[in-house]
Amino acid sequence: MSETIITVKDLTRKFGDFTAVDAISFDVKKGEIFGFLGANGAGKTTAMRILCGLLSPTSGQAEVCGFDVYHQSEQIKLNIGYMSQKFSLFDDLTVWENISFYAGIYKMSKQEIKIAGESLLEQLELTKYRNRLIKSLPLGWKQKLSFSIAIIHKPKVVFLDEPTGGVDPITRRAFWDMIYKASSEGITIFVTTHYLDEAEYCDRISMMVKGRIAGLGTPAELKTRFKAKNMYDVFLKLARGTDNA
Amino acid sequence: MRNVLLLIQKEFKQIFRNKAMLAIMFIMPMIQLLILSNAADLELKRVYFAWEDADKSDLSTSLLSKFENNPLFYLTHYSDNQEQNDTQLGNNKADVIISIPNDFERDLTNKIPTTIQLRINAIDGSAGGLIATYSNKIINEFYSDELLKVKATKRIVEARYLYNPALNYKTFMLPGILVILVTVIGLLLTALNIAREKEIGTIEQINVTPIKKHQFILGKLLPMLAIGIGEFILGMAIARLIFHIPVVGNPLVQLLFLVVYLCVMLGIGLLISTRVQTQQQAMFIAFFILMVFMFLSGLFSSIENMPAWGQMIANLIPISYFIRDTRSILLKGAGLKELYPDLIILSIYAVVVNTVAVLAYKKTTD
Amino acid sequence: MHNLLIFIRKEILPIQRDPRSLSIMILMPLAEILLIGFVMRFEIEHTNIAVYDMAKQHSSVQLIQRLEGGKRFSAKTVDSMEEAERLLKSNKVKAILRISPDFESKILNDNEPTLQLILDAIDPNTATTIEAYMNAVLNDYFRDQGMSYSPQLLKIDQLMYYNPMLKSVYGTVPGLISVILMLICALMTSVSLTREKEMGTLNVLLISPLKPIQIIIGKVIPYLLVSLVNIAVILVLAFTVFKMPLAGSLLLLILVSLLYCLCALALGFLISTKSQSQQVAMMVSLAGLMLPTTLLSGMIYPIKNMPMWLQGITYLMPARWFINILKHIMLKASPVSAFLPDIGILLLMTLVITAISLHNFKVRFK
Repeated sequence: MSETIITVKDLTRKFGDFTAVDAISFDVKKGEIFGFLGANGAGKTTAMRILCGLLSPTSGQAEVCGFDVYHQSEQIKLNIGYMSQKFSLFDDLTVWENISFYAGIYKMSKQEIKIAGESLLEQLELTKYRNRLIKSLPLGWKQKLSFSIAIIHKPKVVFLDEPTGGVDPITRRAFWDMIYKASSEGITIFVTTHYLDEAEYCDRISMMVKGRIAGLGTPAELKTRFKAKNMYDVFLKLARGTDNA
Repeated sequence: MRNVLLLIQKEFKQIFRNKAMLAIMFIMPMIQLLILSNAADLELKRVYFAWEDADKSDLSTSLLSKFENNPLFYLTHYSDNQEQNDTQLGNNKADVIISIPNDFERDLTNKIPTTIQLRINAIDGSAGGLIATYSNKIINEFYSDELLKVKATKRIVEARYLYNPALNYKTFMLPGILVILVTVIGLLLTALNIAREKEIGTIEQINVTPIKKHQFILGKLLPMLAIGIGEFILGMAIARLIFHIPVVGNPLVQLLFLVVYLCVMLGIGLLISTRVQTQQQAMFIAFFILMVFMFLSGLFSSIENMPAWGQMIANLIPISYFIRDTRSILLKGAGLKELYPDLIILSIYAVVVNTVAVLAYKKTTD
Repeated sequence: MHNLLIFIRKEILPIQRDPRSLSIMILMPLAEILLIGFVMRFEIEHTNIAVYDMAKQHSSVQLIQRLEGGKRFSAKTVDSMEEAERLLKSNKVKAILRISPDFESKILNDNEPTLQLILDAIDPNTATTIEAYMNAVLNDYFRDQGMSYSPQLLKIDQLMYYNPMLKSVYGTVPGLISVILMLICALMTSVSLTREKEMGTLNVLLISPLKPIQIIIGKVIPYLLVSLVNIAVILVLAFTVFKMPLAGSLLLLILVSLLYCLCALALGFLISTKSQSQQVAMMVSLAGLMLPTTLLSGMIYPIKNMPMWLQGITYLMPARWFINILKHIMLKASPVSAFLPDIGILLLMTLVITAISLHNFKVRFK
């Protein structure tokens, strides 16, 4: 259970003079739900995009599933799933067309796509909407579908970039149920969020403030270390701490 | 290969689901072809002239009737008022004012030299030159017929019009207009395509998949290629059935040139699309390229007339090759034997442009 | 009114903050006018022809020397008709002059022509012009051969009004100005509005206390300012680089140009009210306006040559009226009354287009 799947050491990304990610280091273990918390602009998304192979780092090291982000980003892509902050299914394709397109890209056979796709629709209770265009679905459904498609090829790790932005608490709860289920199937979850209550759902979290990791550990560890009642207090203390420094 | 097929399928579904875009891709260009093919005619068909006669003699009247009997010339105004006549010229009511001097008849019968004045609206320089030529011809004929009483006109040379014996302007313009239409639609659509995926964000999702860069570009290129070919064939059907444009050459050679040419243009579109961030930027760049291509293509003014450096540019742009070759194949019956150098050049363009597009497409941002 | 001012400022800011797009909007028309304006030429100055001399006698050799002595023709002698036709087919020459074996013996008889001119007539205009030039050269040649005319008593004095040097620039520059301003303006507004539609910010505007007409004015004014800069740049180019004359009032020229831009901006607005996406708006404004504006405005092809129904369609092209006004003001020194109706029509078009887009906009509002 202690096998690491993501290793990050002194990872840095600069945009001109601005350092978005400032020498961060951490490991993610296989099967974990690893949360990346922080305010908007703290560098969460940048770090995640580097790990997905969408952005090249300025310096430092990072390995995902044993592959180096500098030279083996295409191998990394075979082994991961990704759900971006910007909603990214094809609006003008139907539910089923999106499923079969992405599943096909990950080299699933027609038979596999059929089985996996049908069970996915069933779980999401979308079977009768399979021929609906994505743009006609409510946001919450789209997000659940996005997530399901991101893991349809059973990746080793799935990266979720603020997956629950803009949806109601009930849908958020349902979404986290889906995350737990994926985790129980052995998929490592790497999730960014700025909802502090969601932090409690993670196995371990890393608090990002201004491009640096200000705190890393299980939610309980962090609360004791910072003598806080809840994650909200932890966050405020960390944010203020760097302001004073 | 399967990835390319998946991408092609996806593109086709997206295209055929969007009824507005379908109409823009197929109906709009065909309507333009039908209408605009009638517009391009440089032939001087009617010359409107105003008659300014200070002499009003038998001789001047007989010159007037020479003009009136010429099928090209139409009398629109008869007045001695020079200013009024010049206004006619200014308002485009008359193209030329023919002014006969005082004592026209007396001078000529007494063998005193006299001068007829032509005042020509020459804003369109080439039309102005032709009006002058035709007017001169009529006056010279009048001079030899009426005054020298000899038939001076003699046919020195016999002219034969090859490839377009009826001197039909549509035969000349239609293939060119069709090429422009297919180019505009193809280049714009490809230029906007990836930029649009960037704006919506779907490109991210593609970029985290293991799709290879060349697969992605091919997946974008091939559907547009099919659409371009479809459009061209539709246009040719209109050309054949409605305008009766001859097709002398081998249609398969034409198809071969079309495919290679479209690969160049669509490649340029994709290259633009990979380099820009928004559709707006893509559109402005495509607009610039299209304007230059259209006006330097040799469709409106032949490349031979351009200044030397302009000819150099015109010989660099792929569309001038394709318009020239299309005319040669369709109307002259030229084949690979005559046109293979052009095909080689276009193929080199196609390979280079698309390779650059693949290289320019970055799955990982620097 | 205060609302409106705030809104206009808000609309100007993003344009100001994006110097790259702004410079594209201003530099691109400049580059286009320069490049295309210089390169488009309708004067046929030089032609390559193939000469197949079957006579090979003193007089035929002399004739060929005569042809080459002038600037119009470059003659390439060939030894067979096949070779000549191959050159014609592969676009190396535009015409073949075939000299019959009995050229010298028949040169003094008036019987039949012994010269044959075979023309590539795909472009009818080029073909007939080459024929006319060839005739002129041959006429001179035969006249000098001793079949002289009696001294010419009747002289012709040609005055080329408005364009004494018969420069085609005088026709192409006003045309180019019209096409480029039309496209740039229509693109700017149609894209900016559909972009807001796509991003959802238009809805925010619609629920604000701004009236639809205020939204339109607020959207149009910043682009009208950009257009003013464009007009200034283009006119400076026209007067300095292309040496266009300015016969009328500069102020009037600028005002009319602004009116025309306003008309085009309104047209862009109309397109945006009917388009669901940027892509559709761009395709319609660019692919839908580029060729029709070029071909139906009278810029290249004279409107009077078109069939009547098509002439009717040209009435709907704002560019047609604008080109007319430009020629009046720049070249003809006409009194304002001569083109007042044209201005009236442009104004009317602008109002009608604005009214329709406002109507569409309000429908969306409800």
